[in-house]
Amino acid sequence: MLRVEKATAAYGRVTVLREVSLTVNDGEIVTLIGANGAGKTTLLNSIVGVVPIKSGSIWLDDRQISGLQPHRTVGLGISYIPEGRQIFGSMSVMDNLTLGAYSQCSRNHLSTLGYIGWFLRRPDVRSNLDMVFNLFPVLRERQRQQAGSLSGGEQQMLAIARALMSSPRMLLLDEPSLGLAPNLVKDILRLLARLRDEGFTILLIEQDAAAALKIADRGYVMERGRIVIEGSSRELLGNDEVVQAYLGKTRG
Amino acid sequence: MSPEQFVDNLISGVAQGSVYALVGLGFTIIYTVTRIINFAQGEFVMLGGVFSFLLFSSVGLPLPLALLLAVLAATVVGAVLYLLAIRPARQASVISLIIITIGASTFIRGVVGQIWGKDYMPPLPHFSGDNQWLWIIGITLVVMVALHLFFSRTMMGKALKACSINRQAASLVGIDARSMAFTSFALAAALGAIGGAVITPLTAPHFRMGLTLGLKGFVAAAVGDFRSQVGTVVGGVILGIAEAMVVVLDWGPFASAYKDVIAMLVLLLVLFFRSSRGAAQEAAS
Ligand SMILES: Nc1ncnc2c1ncn2[C@@H]1O[C@H](COP(=O)(O)OP(=O)(O)OP(=O)(O)O)[C@@H](O)[C@H]1O
Ligand SMILES: [Mg+2]
Repeated sequence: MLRVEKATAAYGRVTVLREVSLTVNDGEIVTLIGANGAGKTTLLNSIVGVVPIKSGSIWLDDRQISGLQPHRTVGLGISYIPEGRQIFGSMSVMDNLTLGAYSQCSRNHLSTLGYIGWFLRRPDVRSNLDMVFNLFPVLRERQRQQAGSLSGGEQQMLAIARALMSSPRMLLLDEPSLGLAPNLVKDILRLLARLRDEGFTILLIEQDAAAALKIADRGYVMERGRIVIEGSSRELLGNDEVVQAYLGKTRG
Repeated sequence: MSPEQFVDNLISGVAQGSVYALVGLGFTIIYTVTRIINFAQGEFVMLGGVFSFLLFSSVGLPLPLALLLAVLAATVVGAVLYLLAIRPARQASVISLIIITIGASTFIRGVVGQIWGKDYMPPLPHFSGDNQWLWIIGITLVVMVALHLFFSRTMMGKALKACSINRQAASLVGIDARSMAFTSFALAAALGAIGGAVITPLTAPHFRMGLTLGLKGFVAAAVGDFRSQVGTVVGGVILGIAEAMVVVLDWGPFASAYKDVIAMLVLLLVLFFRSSRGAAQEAAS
């Protein structure tokens, strides 16, 4: 589904991605492992167009998406849940979810002037909303509350829920468990496995590599901007180098 | 001052302040979405006034139609200003963009002065009877309700808000920051022009009228910290009332000449409190 081919990216003169190639197939969870500063976040940023790539190419099915700006990639079915959640803190939970569906109504700029109640009654929007409220009942209870006043875990749920509102086929997640209690981390990972079983394709960055590999189908290991190891989760869990460098300690 | 006089002045102050609030909201909306302080905001006010006069007196349209078309025309100018001057300068810093708006302001004023002359134009007739102040207050209230509905009940309004909270997160849900910037310029132009149109029965339209009204709107927006729409409206109305009261108290022979000084005074107070608050925050951290 997603194919990154020899992508190179830099911040100014500092090259951060060096000919990175990676594939995510339909219905897979693929996890990206690497030390701090390896370039994992940059890779996700490049995929959605936040950080443009200097060379190489990025494909979604048969369509080249490198060079597209972030607001365009969402419309193509890639939803990105960035590091730090980035919810709209001073808006309500419901407004955050509504905005998650923005790409569903923005094809025609003028149609965004319509009454939002009508938009929320559209069958596809309605069913997405039902889906996220079923996944996260707490968001249904808190829909009128200010998003910034939710707990860290609830904010992460909202970030995932908002991303699901755009009817994505693929989710990119950057350390969704950062700062969460261990049992919440498990909940989030279990949720991702469930989403995969429902047909979503997932590319996941996770500090707790062992936990991520448990739910993932495949994984890539990044070091200083390069992919150094790739393989199925089982292979990586049995790889001495990986075990030593990334599975010894767990954080989160 | 008799009680009747006081009430009259209060009403005229609130009305004048409503115009400042409309102009100020233009500053606030553009600033929150783009971080640009748009120094051409006053020119939208002037265009609203001058176009209203031209469409009514020279073209001979019925007054309501003239006002409506004048506001639409000024809105188009706001949109074009964004497309021609701001959008092409994509890599420019915010400071350069602000300077561009200063240039645009001079340009618009110059063009209007060249084409339609530098003389005061005769004021429009009152919208009805002799109660233009009430018309101004009423129209402003309607505009504010509409604005509130726009920001709370439409996707576009929410997208503008999202863009002002976190532009990157907004882009990740599919919001194009540039189309939001475009919208904010058009909206700001419309608000300014409405202010200019409703005040023309009381102030003669003139190619330089945007300077003072723009400044007053700037002060209103400064009270709202350029972020808060409510703060901007409160700032505008307070400024309007303060000015009306100074004129009426009539201190010394030049009292009404001091009217425009009030805006400066309010601005200084805002800056003073803001900087002392900033200093306190610095000390605390
Ligand atoms: N906006 C930026 N400007 C300049 N350099 C940056 C920027 N963002 C990241 N970098 C640099 O790029 C390199 C890769 O950063 P990146 O955030 O992609 O790493 P990461 O693998 O996600 O790390 P972490 O696990 O700490 O999140 C780092 O050396 C970092 O300092
Ligand atoms: Mg990172």
